[in-house]
Amino acid sequence: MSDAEWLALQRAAFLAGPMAVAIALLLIVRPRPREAVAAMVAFLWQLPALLALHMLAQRFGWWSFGVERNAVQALPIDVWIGWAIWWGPVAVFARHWLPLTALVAVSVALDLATMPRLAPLVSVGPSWLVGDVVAMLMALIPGQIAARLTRDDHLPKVRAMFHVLGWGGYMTFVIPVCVLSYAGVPLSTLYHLPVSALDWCVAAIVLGLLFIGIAATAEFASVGGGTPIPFDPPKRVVTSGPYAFTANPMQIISAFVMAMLALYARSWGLALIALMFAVFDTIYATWYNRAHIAIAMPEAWSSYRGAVREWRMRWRPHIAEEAHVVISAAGPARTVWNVLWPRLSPWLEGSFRIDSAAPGTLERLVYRRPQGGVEDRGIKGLARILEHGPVPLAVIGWLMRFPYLGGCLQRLSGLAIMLWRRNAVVSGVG
Amino acid sequence: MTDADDVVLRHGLPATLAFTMAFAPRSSTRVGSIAQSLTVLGLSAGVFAGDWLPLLLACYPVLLMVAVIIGEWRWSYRHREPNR
Repeated sequence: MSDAEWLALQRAAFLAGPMAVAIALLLIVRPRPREAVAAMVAFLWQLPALLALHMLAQRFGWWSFGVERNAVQALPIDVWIGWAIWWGPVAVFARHWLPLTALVAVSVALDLATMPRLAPLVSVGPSWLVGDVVAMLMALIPGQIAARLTRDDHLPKVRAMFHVLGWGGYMTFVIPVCVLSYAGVPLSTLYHLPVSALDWCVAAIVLGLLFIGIAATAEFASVGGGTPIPFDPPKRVVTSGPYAFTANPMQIISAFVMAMLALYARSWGLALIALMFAVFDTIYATWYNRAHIAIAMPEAWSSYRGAVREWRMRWRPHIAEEAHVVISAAGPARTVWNVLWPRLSPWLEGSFRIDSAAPGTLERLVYRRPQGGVEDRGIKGLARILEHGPVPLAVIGWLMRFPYLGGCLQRLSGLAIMLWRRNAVVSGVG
Repeated sequence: MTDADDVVLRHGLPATLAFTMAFAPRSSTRVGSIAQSLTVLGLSAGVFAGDWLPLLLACYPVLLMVAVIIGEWRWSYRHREPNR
């Protein structure tokens, strides 16, 4: 058998093999709907992770593929899809019999046994074992964790983090790389530092839109206990955060980000994808919401959709429910509140019930909207109050509640209060 | 033999997906069911699409749009019938 024939057979086997195993396991396991969604989540995680891994492998010389046709940046498409099925659905179904540690051990053992013998398809470099460890850490293990959390409907905030990374990975990496590769355009047309005023504007808009998209995903997780994936939806109609301003922020952002990337790369291919996003969002996603959410939660959905529209951004949020704010009776938080509230309240939408905290409680600020499933404390509670304001104030609020940034701000405010109390003690002694 | 990979990727993959989709449980909604049938048709067309396969994939939302239009039109048509 010639090298060309052997290479073709290897490539065919790398796609057909995982497909056959996945179908066989599907028939054996007969997964419940949530497990099927978990398998899909694992597969979707693998595509951007494996493409990123391939780019790293090329950069550090871990391994390379000896292929010319049907490849994206020298990554054979068949191997890419087959690998994603293998570490996606196949691994998810295999976990009926294997725990994650055993699965990783088996995968590493398989790699050790086969990778150096896969010529002419794969040529490994001297440090390929480092690449294998990286592959486990960025592709197999996170994909399996995301799948297990999805299957068990557990830790929605962690699931949302996976979806943010995955969504960002598709929007800014997988789709542009595939489209530019198909069009035969170098990736540097998109992945370059801004050189003109237009480039800077586009980059700033993309970053701003991605920020709002992440804020919307976080809202789905923290308030709705679900994700933007239609098969793993939130448990309630999410009406807070960016959803108080527009009914489909994620969809608008996906279409606009892709349009901005098309403009940045001057790519008609990416413009077509942006158009397809808009078609999907305008027609199919709108129908999906009407056919599923409206039936599952009719009252909440109809009152929300009566006030907040798709593809239209309100200047002020729609907040139907009275917000309950509890503020400490004395201390630094109360002092700041007494200064801030009279100036802020005329700009805010919706009604508030403000109570003083019972003496002796440690809470400085609590914000609650029980029907909307919203409850935040401290800096995040303050951010929720700002979200009653027009768009600029609300954006500051989303920034203050942004994953990890909100936690940092909370610690900073704790530090400021500590300094305040220390100064008060010093001046009292003086 | 040198085309084995090409056959599996361009023909085998869409054909397998079409087959799986055709025998998957039907969607509970009319539009979902039409979308499923159109997807099977689209994947079957993909078997013969050759170099146009990525473009066909990119235009998948158009197919979903058609499913919504047909499904909603049939729904409104049936709901109008008793008044005729």
